[in-house]
Parts: sequence; C-alpha cells; structure tokens
Amino acid sequence: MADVLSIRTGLDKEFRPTRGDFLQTLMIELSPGRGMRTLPLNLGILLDVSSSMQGAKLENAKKACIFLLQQLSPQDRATVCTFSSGAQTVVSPQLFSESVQVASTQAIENLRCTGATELLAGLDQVYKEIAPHQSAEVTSYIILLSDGEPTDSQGYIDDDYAKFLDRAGNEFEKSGISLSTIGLGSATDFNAAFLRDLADRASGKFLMAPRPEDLQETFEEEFGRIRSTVLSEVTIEINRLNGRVRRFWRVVPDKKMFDPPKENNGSITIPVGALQLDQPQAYVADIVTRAPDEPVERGLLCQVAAITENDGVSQRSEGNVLISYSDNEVELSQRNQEVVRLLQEANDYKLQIDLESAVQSGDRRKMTGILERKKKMTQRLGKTSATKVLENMEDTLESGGHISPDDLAVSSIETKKTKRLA
Amino acid sequence: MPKCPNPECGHDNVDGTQFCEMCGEELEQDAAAPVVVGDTVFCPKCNAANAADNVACEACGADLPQSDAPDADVASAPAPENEPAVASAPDTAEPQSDEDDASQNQVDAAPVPDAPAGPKLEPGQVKLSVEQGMVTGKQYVLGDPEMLVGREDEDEEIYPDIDLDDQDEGYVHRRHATLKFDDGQLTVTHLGGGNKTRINNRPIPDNEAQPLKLGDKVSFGKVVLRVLPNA
Repeated sequence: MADVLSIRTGLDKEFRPTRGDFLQTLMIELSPGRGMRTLPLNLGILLDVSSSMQGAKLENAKKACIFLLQQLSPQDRATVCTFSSGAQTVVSPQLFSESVQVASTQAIENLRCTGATELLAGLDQVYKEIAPHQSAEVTSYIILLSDGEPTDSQGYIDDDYAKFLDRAGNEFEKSGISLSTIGLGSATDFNAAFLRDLADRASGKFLMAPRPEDLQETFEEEFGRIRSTVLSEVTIEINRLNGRVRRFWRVVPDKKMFDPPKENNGSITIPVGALQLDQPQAYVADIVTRAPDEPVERGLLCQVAAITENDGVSQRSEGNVLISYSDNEVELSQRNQEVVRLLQEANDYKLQIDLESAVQSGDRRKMTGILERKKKMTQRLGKTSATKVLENMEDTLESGGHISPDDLAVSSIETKKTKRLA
Repeated sequence: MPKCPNPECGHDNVDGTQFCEMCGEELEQDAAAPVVVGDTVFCPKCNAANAADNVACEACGADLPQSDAPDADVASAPAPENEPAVASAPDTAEPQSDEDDASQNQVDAAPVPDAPAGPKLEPGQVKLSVEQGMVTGKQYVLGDPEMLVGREDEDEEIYPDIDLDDQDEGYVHRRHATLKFDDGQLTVTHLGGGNKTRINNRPIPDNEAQPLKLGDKVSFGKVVLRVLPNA
C-alpha cells in the first residue's frame, strides 16, 4: 500500500485541556507513490460559442482546443461539446487515433459563434458524453471555457448559481468527474468567483486567460496537470471521531473549502478527487474535541484513512490520531508550526471569501477591515504578490474608488496558491 | 472561551481556536511564562533549552524573550549572572508579523556603533556561520565585494548571493540585506523589510550601512549567523 498512497497526520496542538470543548486542527497529508504511471484520460472540453466569443476569442479557443487534442495518446478518450443557446456535441467521445485527430480538427475549425450562454445545457451535454466512460482506471476531467455570465436560452443572466454548483458537485461525488474552469477576458464579464466555486465543487481548478492569445498556454497548463494524474478517485474517511468536524479544507497544492462534512455514526467520508504524480496534497480539519470521560494522559481522537483504487484493486492507507491531555500551560502552548502554517493558509482563503462577500454588499468599512486582516496574513505567509494586490485595493478604497472584479479575481488566484510541502 | 477582539465581530470561539471562526481575526493565545534557569531559557512553545541570549529557539524557531543587553559586543561579553534574561513575555505561537515589527522600527533601531577597530577585512577572508536556523553550522564565505542576502524567488527573478530560503520559514525577505566590503571594512545594510536585520540582537536602521566585525552576531529575520574569519 505504501507504494500507491501514503497518509500522514498531525495536530496543531498535541495537548488539550482535561476539561471542556477544545478546538484542534488536524492535518492530513496524502502522497501518491513515487513514479507511478499516469492514467489514461477521459476528457471533455466544453467551449462557450455564444456571440460574445466572436473573433479572436473563438479563433484562439479553436487553436488551443486543437493543440490540446493533438497531445492525446491513442489510449486517451476525449469529447468536445459547445454551448450557446442550447448545447451540442462537436466531437463524440472516442479514443484518439490519428484518423480521429484529423476529423476532430476539421469539426473544431468549423465552429461558429451565435446566441446566448446557456451553461447548464452545456454541462448536461458534456456530462452525458463522458459519464459512461468513467472508471477508476481513467482520469475524467472536463475543461470548461467561458467568457461571460451564464444565461438562460433567451440570453437573460441566470444568477441562480447554486444549481450550477450542485450539478457539478453532484456529478463529482456520484461519478468522480472533475471540472476545471477557464475564464476568458475581463473578470467584469465572467464572474470569477462563480467559475472558481464551480471548479472547487467539482475538485478542479480555476484559471484565467486575460487575453485570447493566452488561451493556448492556459489550456496547456491545466492539461499538463490533468495529464499527470496517477490516482483518480481518492476518498478520505475519518472514523471513531471523538469530537465534531467544523470545517474541512484542502490547502496543498491549492485551496478549497469543502461543505461542512456530515457525520454518520462517528464517521465522515469526503471524496477528494484525483492525485497528481509526485504531488502530495494536504487537508486541514477544524475539530472540536471532547474532554475524556475519565482522567487519562492520552487517547484516540480519530482514525483517518485514504481509500482509492489502483489497477482494479481497492487500496486503503490509514493511521490513528492520538491526543494528549494536560493542564500544564507549557504543554498546552506547544504548537506544530507545520500545521499552524497550513491553518494560516486556510484562513487566508476564508478572508478572501469574506472580502468577496463584502465587495458584493458594498460595505466599504467591512472591506477595509477584511483587507487589513488579510494583508497581515499574506505578509506573515510571505506572499508578496498577494500583498501587493491587497495594497492596491486599499489605495483604491482610500481614494474613494471601487474594488474591481479583476483585482478581486487576481487576489482569489493569488490566495489559492500554496507552497508545496517539503 | 476566547472572544474575538474585532469590535465588529466579538464572536465567542471555542477554546483553542487560533483565528476567529467568524471573521478570521487572530485571537490572543495564552502564552506560558518562560522558564529561565541561570544562562538557560526554556522555549515557551516547545520547552527546548536555549542559551539565554538566543533570539529564537534552536529547536522550533519561536521567538525567545531578550535580555536588556547593551548594544556593544554582546557576543563576546560574559552573560550577567543572577539576572533574569527575560525582558518581557514571549510572543504567542504565531510568528511576528511584518507590520508589528515595522511599527517598532523607529524606536528599536540600534544606535550607530563607532567604527570598529581590528584587522582589515577583504572578500574571501570572512565567513558567516549559522548558529540558529534550520541547518545550524552551515557556512557562507563572503567571497564578493558586495553580496545580497535574501530568499530566492524565481518568479521575481531574485537570486541572492546568500540564499537563506532553507534556513527559515519566510521571515527572511527576498531582498533582505546587503553585505559590502569597503576599504577593509565589512558593512551590512538592511533593505527596509519589516523583519529586521540585527547586529548582536539589536535591530539596525533601514538603508544605512552598519559595520560588522569578527565575532559579531548578525541576524536576518530569525536566522542568526556569526561573523568568523575564513581560515
């Protein structure tokens, strides 16, 4: 098992008081075995071909899409779907032999722009195409490109974002299909927070291509990441939990806030998606731990397991997390700096979400307060670029201006970055 | 139950919480009193024994309380006996922020010492040896007339001559300080970041060359190095 997937855990505070509830942060690090073989792809490309994509945007999207298909091997399967007013399949799901490459290129070259941005129809279409080919032996990913807000078939903006998020989230949980999103152009057009949340819900990644000519590079970047997947459906299980999980985050290699996990008889199951080659992932869980019923020095907080499938065989790696009980001030003040740092990263992300919410509400006082706290956090984390973006926002607010969606989107992307664990 | 200090929040958090669950504000942690025995101070975080004049714990890198030592050559001065080495309560578990440090910049700046007496120092004749950091004992020979001390950042194309990236956890700035040989004298200039450069534990002013002599202890962020002859 150690060759396929290993697990490492740590607590920010090894000791907790002998009485009362106490918050401890649990780190769970998952590492795939070194040098594992990468999985074949089950790839869906979903392109926005609404009328706003006319011109350089569409031409560059075609180029990027064709480039990406050219990188596929004969054992990779791919499909290309488009959406505008409705959705259609341009390249049906098939293994990518040379002859398929030629035919697909032709089909993509013929794409034309028209109509609205009916994203939900597009999602339905692409899920329908790739779901039948999903298994633990392939990595199933969708790359979505859009330059605008989702609309209904009439072109009216459809801001009922929850239904998009639920669609992507359910499909990920049910079928293990991940979704990455690429926003093209200015964030004033495409709602960066929505595209980010959509990717988060489906365990993908959000990227931005500010100019059409950036598209190929952006596609390539995400394709490279997807291509290096070695385990496609990984689940974390927390069992025999002596407490309750309040929050659960992924912090490495990038950040994602999960919905509050639901507990079932002391067990929590969290699907976390794919692991890439030689790329550990770290998660943190805030757990309100309980005091022991009887005086003891040490006890079990929980058992943590990572479960996946490799070469058709179910694999499980697990470990016990122990806590020590003490009322000694020195022991209680001990901190595991590795976990504290990850916790700071997680809180930095929370502050980003709070900032977005404050900007949306227009409450300038709130924005100023959050910016101040977030700047302090990014400085502590040594994130210079992120700090600069926040300083620009502070200047904008001080001079009576408004924080732009682009600034907010850049801040979101900077906030998402974390350093890989050593 | 720690109450959030943010006046607009005031949320009652569960004991042990480090950042307010509602607004992300950092919460004050109960700091344990440091234990000082003679010339040894025990880290309030990990309990490791440290020399009383250490600025950071050798085991975990946490801030250690400082004695009211004179600004002269602390490294070579004998440690005062029967005198508490602790000037104030230690910081909490969280690293000191740039802002906090920057706010002390003016008041804490070390007075400019007199020009040092001693041998002339030339490139190649001096080295720095890590006394407190992730890799203690690591040495850096000062082989060039001018050298940048900092952390490598490929994105910004910053490649310092003395890269302390593997020595600490982000307290060293990417462009932290410069070391310069000038007319037989070695100087260090802090380049303005919030995490200071210190000579013998005392922070130096920003952007002003300060003389360094053999035996001095120079700190960049939380990495402490000794200036030694390169035999």
